[in-house]
Amino acid sequence: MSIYRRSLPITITAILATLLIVQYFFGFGNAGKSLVTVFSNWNVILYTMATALGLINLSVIHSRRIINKSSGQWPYSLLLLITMISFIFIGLVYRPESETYEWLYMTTLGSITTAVYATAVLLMASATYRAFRVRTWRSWVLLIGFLIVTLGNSSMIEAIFPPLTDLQRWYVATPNMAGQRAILIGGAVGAISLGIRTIIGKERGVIGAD
Amino acid sequence: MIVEGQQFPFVILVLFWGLVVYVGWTASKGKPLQLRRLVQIDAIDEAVGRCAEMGRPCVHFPGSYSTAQKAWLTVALAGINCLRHVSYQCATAGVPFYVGSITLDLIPLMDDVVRSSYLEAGHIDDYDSAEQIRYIGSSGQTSQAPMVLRLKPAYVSMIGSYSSDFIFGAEPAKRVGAVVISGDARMSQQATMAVTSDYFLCGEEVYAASAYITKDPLLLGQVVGQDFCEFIFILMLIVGFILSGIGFENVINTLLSI
Repeated sequence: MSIYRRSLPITITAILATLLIVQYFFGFGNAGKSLVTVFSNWNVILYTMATALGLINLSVIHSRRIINKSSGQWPYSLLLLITMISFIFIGLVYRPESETYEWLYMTTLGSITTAVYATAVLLMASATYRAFRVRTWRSWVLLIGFLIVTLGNSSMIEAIFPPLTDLQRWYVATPNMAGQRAILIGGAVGAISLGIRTIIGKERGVIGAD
Repeated sequence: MIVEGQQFPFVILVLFWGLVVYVGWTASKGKPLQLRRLVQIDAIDEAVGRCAEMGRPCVHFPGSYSTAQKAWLTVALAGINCLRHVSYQCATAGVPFYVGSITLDLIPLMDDVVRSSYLEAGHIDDYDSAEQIRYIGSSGQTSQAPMVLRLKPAYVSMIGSYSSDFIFGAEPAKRVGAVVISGDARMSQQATMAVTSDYFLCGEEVYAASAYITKDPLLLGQVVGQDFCEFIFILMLIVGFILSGIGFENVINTLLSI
Protein backbone atom coordinates (compact mmCIF):
# COMPACT_ATOMS: atom_id res chain seq x y z
CA MET A 1 0.00 0.00 0.00
CA SER A 2 2.79 2.32 0.95
CA ILE A 3 4.39 1.94 -2.48
CA TYR A 4 1.22 3.06 -4.28
CA ARG A 5 0.32 5.84 -1.87
CA ARG A 6 3.72 7.26 -1.00
CA SER A 7 6.74 6.03 -2.92
CA LEU A 8 5.13 5.97 -6.37
CA PRO A 9 3.61 9.51 -6.26
CA ILE A 10 6.83 10.92 -4.81
CA THR A 11 8.95 9.16 -7.47
CA ILE A 12 6.68 10.32 -10.34
CA THR A 13 6.71 13.89 -8.96
CA ALA A 14 10.50 13.89 -8.60
CA ILE A 15 11.13 12.49 -12.10
CA LEU A 16 8.66 14.80 -13.88
CA ALA A 17 9.75 17.90 -11.96
CA THR A 18 13.43 17.19 -12.67
CA LEU A 19 12.71 16.55 -16.36
CA LEU A 20 10.81 19.82 -16.75
CA ILE A 21 13.47 21.84 -14.91
CA VAL A 22 16.27 20.30 -17.00
CA GLN A 23 14.27 20.98 -20.18
CA TYR A 24 13.70 24.61 -19.13
CA PHE A 25 17.42 25.29 -18.67
CA PHE A 26 18.91 23.02 -21.34
CA GLY A 27 16.20 23.19 -24.02
CA PHE A 28 16.93 19.95 -25.93
CA GLY A 29 15.39 21.42 -29.13
CA ASN A 30 12.18 19.97 -30.54
CA ALA A 31 12.34 16.89 -28.30
CA GLY A 32 12.24 19.15 -25.26
CA LYS A 33 9.33 21.17 -26.65
CA SER A 34 7.40 17.96 -27.38
CA LEU A 35 7.97 16.83 -23.81
CA VAL A 36 6.52 20.07 -22.44
CA THR A 37 3.53 19.79 -24.83
CA VAL A 38 2.83 16.24 -23.67
CA PHE A 39 2.84 17.26 -20.00
CA SER A 40 0.71 20.36 -20.70
CA ASN A 41 -1.85 18.13 -22.45
CA TRP A 42 -1.83 15.77 -19.47
CA ASN A 43 -2.51 18.72 -17.22
CA VAL A 44 -5.56 19.64 -19.30
CA ILE A 45 -6.77 16.02 -19.30
CA LEU A 46 -6.42 15.70 -15.53
CA TYR A 47 -8.18 19.03 -14.98
CA THR A 48 -11.08 17.90 -17.20
CA MET A 49 -11.34 14.63 -15.29
CA ALA A 50 -11.51 16.62 -12.06
CA THR A 51 -14.59 18.40 -13.47
CA ALA A 52 -16.36 15.05 -13.50
CA LEU A 53 -15.39 14.54 -9.85
CA GLY A 54 -16.89 17.95 -9.02
CA LEU A 55 -20.09 16.86 -10.76
CA ILE A 56 -20.25 13.69 -8.68
CA ASN A 57 -19.52 15.63 -5.48
CA LEU A 58 -22.34 18.10 -6.20
CA SER A 59 -24.80 15.34 -7.13
CA VAL A 60 -24.12 13.35 -3.96
CA ILE A 61 -24.41 16.34 -1.59
CA HIS A 62 -27.58 17.76 -3.10
CA SER A 63 -29.31 14.40 -3.69
CA ARG A 64 -28.76 13.65 -0.03
CA ARG A 65 -30.28 17.00 0.97
CA ILE A 66 -33.36 16.35 -1.18
CA ILE A 67 -33.79 12.82 0.20
CA ASN A 68 -33.42 14.04 3.80
CA LYS A 69 -35.57 17.13 3.07
CA SER A 70 -32.94 19.34 4.76
CA SER A 71 -34.71 22.33 6.27
CA GLY A 72 -34.56 25.42 4.04
CA GLN A 73 -32.04 23.83 1.67
CA TRP A 74 -33.69 21.05 -0.33
CA PRO A 75 -35.66 23.29 -2.76
CA TYR A 76 -32.42 24.99 -3.78
CA SER A 77 -30.69 21.63 -4.11
CA LEU A 78 -33.52 20.43 -6.34
CA LEU A 79 -33.26 23.56 -8.48
CA LEU A 80 -29.49 23.08 -8.75
CA LEU A 81 -29.81 19.46 -9.85
CA ILE A 82 -32.54 20.27 -12.41
CA THR A 83 -30.43 23.11 -13.85
CA MET A 84 -27.29 20.99 -13.93
CA ILE A 85 -28.99 18.04 -15.66
CA SER A 86 -30.76 20.38 -18.13
CA PHE A 87 -27.50 22.03 -19.14
CA ILE A 88 -25.74 18.68 -19.57
CA PHE A 89 -28.65 17.25 -21.59
CA ILE A 90 -29.02 20.28 -23.87
CA GLY A 91 -25.24 20.53 -24.28
CA LEU A 92 -25.02 16.87 -25.32
CA VAL A 93 -27.99 17.05 -27.71
CA TYR A 94 -27.45 20.47 -29.33
CA ARG A 95 -23.68 20.90 -28.66
CA PRO A 96 -22.34 23.77 -26.47
CA GLU A 97 -21.60 25.97 -29.53
CA SER A 98 -25.24 25.85 -30.75
CA GLU A 99 -27.54 28.89 -30.62
CA THR A 100 -29.98 27.09 -28.31
CA TYR A 101 -27.32 26.36 -25.72
CA GLU A 102 -25.83 29.84 -26.03
CA TRP A 103 -29.29 31.44 -25.61
CA LEU A 104 -29.96 29.33 -22.52
CA TYR A 105 -26.57 30.15 -21.05
CA MET A 106 -26.75 33.89 -21.72
CA THR A 107 -30.31 34.33 -20.49
CA THR A 108 -29.76 32.43 -17.24
CA LEU A 109 -26.20 32.06 -15.99
CA GLY A 110 -24.83 34.94 -18.09
CA SER A 111 -27.38 37.43 -16.72
CA ILE A 112 -27.00 36.22 -13.13
CA THR A 113 -23.20 36.36 -13.29
CA THR A 114 -23.27 39.89 -14.74
CA ALA A 115 -25.63 41.04 -11.98
CA VAL A 116 -23.50 39.42 -9.26
CA TYR A 117 -20.28 40.93 -10.55
CA ALA A 118 -21.93 44.36 -10.80
CA THR A 119 -22.96 44.24 -7.14
CA ALA A 120 -19.69 42.61 -6.13
CA VAL A 121 -17.75 45.82 -6.77
CA LEU A 122 -19.85 47.73 -4.22
CA LEU A 123 -19.87 44.79 -1.84
CA MET A 124 -16.08 44.53 -2.04
CA ALA A 125 -15.65 48.19 -1.05
CA SER A 126 -18.16 48.02 1.80
CA ALA A 127 -16.89 44.61 2.99
CA THR A 128 -13.32 45.92 3.17
CA TYR A 129 -14.58 48.91 5.17
CA ARG A 130 -16.49 46.68 7.60
CA ALA A 131 -13.67 44.17 8.03
CA PHE A 132 -10.86 46.72 8.39
CA ARG A 133 -9.79 47.06 12.03
CA VAL A 134 -7.41 49.96 12.76
CA ARG A 135 -5.87 48.68 15.97
CA THR A 136 -2.14 49.23 15.60
CA TRP A 137 0.16 51.87 14.17
CA ARG A 138 0.81 49.54 11.22
CA SER A 139 -2.91 49.59 10.42
CA TRP A 140 -2.76 53.38 10.47
CA VAL A 141 0.11 53.33 7.95
CA LEU A 142 -1.96 51.07 5.71
CA LEU A 143 -5.06 53.25 6.09
CA ILE A 144 -3.11 56.41 5.24
CA GLY A 145 -1.59 54.67 2.21
CA PHE A 146 -5.06 53.54 1.15
CA LEU A 147 -6.41 57.10 1.43
CA ILE A 148 -3.49 58.56 -0.55
CA VAL A 149 -3.93 56.04 -3.39
CA THR A 150 -7.73 56.19 -3.48
CA LEU A 151 -8.06 59.97 -3.26
CA GLY A 152 -5.04 60.52 -5.54
CA ASN A 153 -6.76 58.46 -8.24
CA SER A 154 -9.88 60.58 -8.04
CA SER A 155 -10.17 63.15 -10.87
CA MET A 156 -12.03 65.53 -8.53
CA ILE A 157 -9.12 65.58 -6.05
CA GLU A 158 -6.68 66.01 -8.94
CA ALA A 159 -8.55 69.18 -9.96
CA ILE A 160 -8.82 70.56 -6.41
CA PHE A 161 -5.48 69.52 -4.93
CA PRO A 162 -2.94 68.35 -7.60
CA PRO A 163 -0.05 67.62 -5.17
CA LEU A 164 -2.01 64.66 -3.78
CA THR A 165 -1.97 63.03 -7.22
CA ASP A 166 1.82 63.48 -7.40
CA LEU A 167 2.11 62.00 -3.91
CA GLN A 168 -0.06 59.06 -5.00
CA ARG A 169 2.18 58.39 -8.04
CA TRP A 170 5.31 58.51 -5.87
CA TYR A 171 3.69 56.28 -3.23
CA VAL A 172 2.74 53.63 -5.80
CA ALA A 173 6.04 53.76 -7.70
CA THR A 174 8.46 53.89 -4.74
CA PRO A 175 7.51 52.52 -1.28
CA ASN A 176 4.73 50.32 -2.67
CA MET A 177 6.97 48.87 -5.40
CA ALA A 178 9.79 48.22 -2.91
CA GLY A 179 7.42 46.31 -0.63
CA GLN A 180 5.96 44.35 -3.54
CA ARG A 181 9.39 43.29 -4.76
CA ALA A 182 10.45 42.23 -1.26
CA ILE A 183 7.38 39.97 -1.00
CA LEU A 184 7.90 38.65 -4.54
CA ILE A 185 11.55 37.77 -3.87
CA GLY A 186 10.65 36.15 -0.56
CA GLY A 187 7.88 34.19 -2.27
CA ALA A 188 10.21 33.04 -5.03
CA VAL A 189 12.81 31.80 -2.52
CA GLY A 190 10.05 30.02 -0.59
CA ALA A 191 8.84 28.34 -3.79
CA ILE A 192 12.41 27.21 -4.60
CA SER A 193 12.70 25.70 -1.11
CA LEU A 194 9.28 23.99 -1.38
CA GLY A 195 10.30 22.71 -4.83
CA ILE A 196 13.42 20.97 -3.59
CA ARG A 197 11.55 19.56 -0.56
CA THR A 198 8.96 18.09 -2.94
CA ILE A 199 11.52 16.71 -5.39
CA ILE A 200 13.52 14.94 -2.68
CA GLY A 201 10.28 13.57 -1.20
CA LYS A 202 10.43 15.36 2.14
CA GLU A 203 7.34 17.49 1.62
CA ARG A 204 4.62 14.94 2.24
CA GLY A 205 1.77 17.14 3.33
CA VAL A 206 0.00 16.73 0.00
CA ILE A 207 0.44 12.96 -0.03
CA GLY A 208 -2.29 11.03 1.76
CA ALA A 209 -1.84 8.49 4.53
CA ASP A 210 -0.42 5.00 3.98
CA MET B 1 24.70 23.83 -23.41
CA ILE B 2 22.46 25.93 -21.14
CA VAL B 3 19.88 28.02 -22.99
CA GLU B 4 21.13 31.56 -23.64
CA GLY B 5 20.06 33.99 -20.94
CA GLN B 6 19.42 31.22 -18.41
CA GLN B 7 22.98 30.65 -17.10
CA PHE B 8 22.71 33.09 -14.21
CA PRO B 9 19.24 31.88 -13.05
CA PHE B 10 20.54 28.28 -13.30
CA VAL B 11 23.55 29.06 -11.08
CA ILE B 12 21.28 30.84 -8.57
CA LEU B 13 18.82 27.91 -8.52
CA VAL B 14 21.56 25.31 -7.98
CA LEU B 15 23.22 27.50 -5.33
CA PHE B 16 19.96 27.96 -3.43
CA TRP B 17 18.95 24.33 -3.66
CA GLY B 18 22.40 23.32 -2.45
CA LEU B 19 22.21 25.74 0.46
CA VAL B 20 18.71 24.64 1.47
CA VAL B 21 19.63 20.94 1.33
CA TYR B 22 22.96 21.47 3.14
CA VAL B 23 21.48 23.46 6.06
CA GLY B 24 18.64 20.92 6.29
CA TRP B 25 21.13 18.07 6.36
CA THR B 26 23.30 19.67 9.09
CA ALA B 27 20.15 20.32 11.15
CA SER B 28 19.09 16.68 10.84
CA LYS B 29 22.53 15.71 12.20
CA GLY B 30 21.72 17.56 15.41
CA LYS B 31 23.06 21.05 14.82
CA PRO B 32 20.94 23.47 16.92
CA LEU B 33 18.71 25.83 14.92
CA GLN B 34 17.66 29.38 15.52
CA LEU B 35 14.30 29.52 13.82
CA ARG B 36 11.92 32.47 13.85
CA ARG B 37 8.60 31.68 15.49
CA LEU B 38 5.51 31.63 13.29
CA VAL B 39 2.79 32.80 15.68
CA GLN B 40 0.22 32.29 12.93
CA ILE B 41 0.74 28.53 13.05
CA ASP B 42 0.60 28.47 16.85
CA ALA B 43 -2.68 30.42 16.54
CA ILE B 44 -4.23 27.58 14.50
CA ASP B 45 -4.27 25.33 17.58
CA GLU B 46 -5.85 28.11 19.66
CA ALA B 47 -8.48 28.78 16.97
CA VAL B 48 -9.43 25.08 16.81
CA GLY B 49 -9.66 25.07 20.62
CA ARG B 50 -11.98 28.07 20.36
CA CYS B 51 -14.22 26.11 17.94
CA ALA B 52 -14.36 23.23 20.44
CA GLU B 53 -15.26 25.55 23.34
CA MET B 54 -17.96 27.37 21.38
CA GLY B 55 -19.33 24.20 19.77
CA ARG B 56 -18.99 25.71 16.32
CA PRO B 57 -17.33 24.32 13.18
CA CYS B 58 -14.15 25.23 11.33
CA VAL B 59 -14.20 26.12 7.62
CA HIS B 60 -11.24 26.06 5.24
CA PHE B 61 -11.12 27.73 1.83
CA PRO B 62 -8.19 26.64 -0.38
CA GLY B 63 -8.16 29.73 -2.61
CA SER B 64 -8.99 30.50 -6.20
CA TYR B 65 -6.05 29.05 -8.10
CA SER B 66 -5.02 25.48 -8.67
CA THR B 67 -3.15 23.20 -11.03
CA ALA B 68 -4.64 24.97 -14.05
CA GLN B 69 -2.65 28.06 -13.12
CA LYS B 70 0.78 26.46 -12.95
CA ALA B 71 2.52 29.57 -11.62
CA TRP B 72 0.45 29.49 -8.43
CA LEU B 73 0.37 25.74 -7.95
CA THR B 74 3.14 25.95 -5.35
CA VAL B 75 1.02 28.30 -3.22
CA ALA B 76 -1.99 26.00 -3.55
CA LEU B 77 0.13 23.02 -2.47
CA ALA B 78 1.60 24.96 0.46
CA GLY B 79 -1.99 25.80 1.46
CA ILE B 80 -2.90 22.10 1.34
CA ASN B 81 0.00 21.34 3.67
CA CYS B 82 -1.60 23.75 6.15
CA LEU B 83 -5.01 22.16 5.48
CA ARG B 84 -3.56 18.87 6.66
CA HIS B 85 -2.59 20.42 10.00
CA VAL B 86 -5.91 22.25 10.46
CA SER B 87 -7.98 19.16 9.63
CA TYR B 88 -5.88 16.98 11.95
CA GLN B 89 -6.36 19.42 14.83
CA CYS B 90 -10.11 19.53 14.16
CA ALA B 91 -10.38 15.74 13.93
CA THR B 92 -8.49 15.35 17.22
CA ALA B 93 -10.61 17.96 19.03
CA GLY B 94 -13.88 16.65 17.56
CA VAL B 95 -14.59 19.95 15.79
CA PRO B 96 -16.78 19.68 12.66
CA PHE B 97 -14.55 20.56 9.72
CA TYR B 98 -15.61 21.72 6.27
CA VAL B 99 -13.74 22.65 3.10
CA GLY B 100 -15.38 24.92 0.53
CA SER B 101 -13.55 24.62 -2.76
CA ILE B 102 -14.05 26.60 -5.94
CA THR B 103 -11.26 24.65 -7.63
CA LEU B 104 -12.38 21.29 -8.95
CA ASP B 105 -9.01 19.69 -9.49
CA LEU B 106 -7.91 20.14 -5.88
CA ILE B 107 -10.95 18.30 -4.49
CA PRO B 108 -9.56 14.72 -4.82
CA LEU B 109 -6.27 15.87 -3.29
CA MET B 110 -7.96 17.65 -0.38
CA ASP B 111 -10.32 14.73 0.15
CA ASP B 112 -7.34 12.41 0.53
CA VAL B 113 -5.46 14.82 2.79
CA VAL B 114 -8.43 15.38 5.13
CA ARG B 115 -9.25 11.65 5.15
CA SER B 116 -5.62 10.97 6.15
CA SER B 117 -5.89 13.49 8.99
CA TYR B 118 -9.04 11.82 10.35
CA LEU B 119 -7.35 8.45 9.98
CA GLU B 120 -4.25 9.59 11.88
CA ALA B 121 -6.42 11.18 14.56
CA GLY B 122 -8.28 7.88 14.98
CA HIS B 123 -11.65 9.37 14.01
CA ILE B 124 -12.10 8.10 10.46
CA ASP B 125 -15.73 7.13 11.26
CA ASP B 126 -16.53 10.83 11.73
CA TYR B 127 -15.37 11.70 8.22
CA ASP B 128 -18.01 12.26 5.55
CA SER B 129 -16.27 13.11 2.31
CA ALA B 130 -19.27 14.39 0.34
CA GLU B 131 -20.54 16.58 3.18
CA GLN B 132 -17.20 17.95 4.36
CA ILE B 133 -15.33 18.54 1.10
CA ARG B 134 -17.72 20.69 -0.86
CA TYR B 135 -17.49 22.06 -4.36
CA ILE B 136 -19.16 25.44 -3.93
CA GLY B 137 -19.17 26.68 -7.53
CA SER B 138 -16.66 28.38 -9.75
CA SER B 139 -16.93 31.85 -8.19
CA GLY B 140 -15.70 32.54 -4.69
CA GLN B 141 -17.47 35.89 -4.82
CA THR B 142 -20.87 34.26 -4.63
CA SER B 143 -20.24 31.00 -2.84
CA GLN B 144 -17.90 31.59 0.11
CA ALA B 145 -20.13 34.04 1.98
CA PRO B 146 -23.27 31.81 2.05
CA MET B 147 -21.22 28.89 3.35
CA VAL B 148 -19.77 30.99 6.18
CA LEU B 149 -23.08 32.61 7.08
CA ARG B 150 -24.89 29.25 7.11
CA LEU B 151 -22.34 27.24 9.09
CA LYS B 152 -21.34 30.09 11.47
CA PRO B 153 -17.80 28.79 12.09
CA ALA B 154 -15.64 29.97 14.97
CA TYR B 155 -12.52 29.69 12.81
CA VAL B 156 -12.10 30.33 9.08
CA SER B 157 -8.83 29.20 7.53
CA MET B 158 -7.99 30.87 4.21
CA ILE B 159 -4.50 29.75 3.26
CA GLY B 160 -3.91 29.38 -0.46
CA SER B 161 -3.70 31.37 -3.63
CA TYR B 162 -6.40 34.05 -3.76
CA SER B 163 -7.79 36.57 -6.17
CA SER B 164 -10.27 39.34 -5.34
CA ASP B 165 -12.72 36.83 -3.87
CA PHE B 166 -10.75 36.64 -0.62
CA ILE B 167 -12.77 39.44 0.96
CA PHE B 168 -16.02 37.55 0.25
CA GLY B 169 -14.93 34.86 2.67
CA ALA B 170 -13.11 37.01 5.22
CA GLU B 171 -15.79 39.66 5.74
CA PRO B 172 -18.66 37.23 6.48
CA ALA B 173 -16.25 35.42 8.81
CA LYS B 174 -15.80 38.63 10.81
CA ARG B 175 -19.57 39.13 10.75
CA VAL B 176 -20.19 35.75 12.43
CA GLY B 177 -17.35 36.40 14.90
CA ALA B 178 -14.89 33.86 13.50
CA VAL B 179 -11.13 33.98 13.84
CA VAL B 180 -9.57 34.36 10.39
CA ILE B 181 -6.10 32.94 9.70
CA SER B 182 -5.06 33.54 6.12
CA GLY B 183 -1.98 33.34 3.92
CA ASP B 184 -0.85 33.85 0.35
CA ALA B 185 2.55 34.21 -1.29
CA ARG B 186 1.10 36.33 -4.09
CA MET B 187 1.03 40.10 -3.97
CA SER B 188 -2.54 40.93 -4.91
CA GLN B 189 -4.32 40.11 -1.65
CA GLN B 190 -1.60 40.87 0.91
CA ALA B 191 -3.12 44.20 1.97
CA THR B 192 -6.65 42.80 2.23
CA MET B 193 -5.37 39.89 4.29
CA ALA B 194 -3.43 42.22 6.57
CA VAL B 195 -6.52 44.28 7.43
CA THR B 196 -9.17 41.58 7.60
CA SER B 197 -7.37 38.64 9.22
CA ASP B 198 -6.53 38.03 12.85
CA TYR B 199 -3.31 36.33 11.71
CA PHE B 200 -1.88 36.05 8.22
CA LEU B 201 1.07 34.29 6.66
CA CYS B 202 2.84 36.91 4.59
CA GLY B 203 4.69 35.94 1.42
CA GLU B 204 7.18 33.11 1.87
CA GLU B 205 5.84 32.29 5.36
CA VAL B 206 3.20 30.23 3.56
CA TYR B 207 5.96 27.96 2.25
CA ALA B 208 7.78 27.87 5.58
CA ALA B 209 4.57 26.99 7.42
CA SER B 210 4.43 23.37 6.27
CA ALA B 211 7.97 22.73 7.52
CA TYR B 212 7.24 24.57 10.77
CA ILE B 213 4.16 22.38 11.34
CA THR B 214 6.04 19.09 10.99
CA LYS B 215 8.79 20.05 13.50
CA ASP B 216 11.05 17.75 11.46
CA PRO B 217 14.68 18.96 11.98
CA LEU B 218 15.50 18.36 8.30
CA LEU B 219 12.58 20.50 7.09
CA LEU B 220 13.13 23.16 9.75
CA GLY B 221 16.76 23.29 8.68
CA GLN B 222 15.59 23.88 5.13
CA VAL B 223 13.54 26.86 6.33
CA VAL B 224 16.72 28.27 7.88
CA GLY B 225 18.45 27.59 4.53
CA GLN B 226 15.61 29.50 2.85
CA ASP B 227 16.34 32.46 5.16
CA PHE B 228 20.03 32.30 4.19
CA CYS B 229 18.97 32.50 0.53
CA GLU B 230 16.92 35.60 1.28
CA PHE B 231 19.95 37.09 3.01
CA ILE B 232 22.01 36.46 -0.16
CA PHE B 233 19.30 38.19 -2.19
CA ILE B 234 19.44 41.21 0.13
CA LEU B 235 23.24 41.34 -0.30
CA MET B 236 22.82 41.12 -4.09
CA LEU B 237 20.33 43.99 -3.96
CA ILE B 238 22.73 46.14 -1.93
CA VAL B 239 25.64 45.36 -4.26
CA GLY B 240 23.42 46.10 -7.29
CA PHE B 241 22.28 49.35 -5.69
CA ILE B 242 25.90 50.45 -5.07
CA LEU B 243 27.09 49.35 -8.55
CA SER B 244 24.31 51.22 -10.33
CA GLY B 245 24.89 54.24 -8.06
CA ILE B 246 28.55 54.52 -9.03
CA GLY B 247 27.89 54.04 -12.74
CA PHE B 248 28.53 50.29 -13.22
CA GLU B 249 25.05 49.45 -14.46
CA ASN B 250 26.57 47.55 -17.40
CA VAL B 251 28.04 44.99 -14.95
CA ILE B 252 24.54 44.22 -13.67
CA ASN B 253 23.07 44.10 -17.16
CA THR B 254 25.82 41.73 -18.35
CA LEU B 255 25.25 39.47 -15.35
CA LEU B 256 21.52 39.35 -15.93
CA SER B 257 21.84 38.66 -19.65
CA ILE B 258 24.08 35.58 -19.37
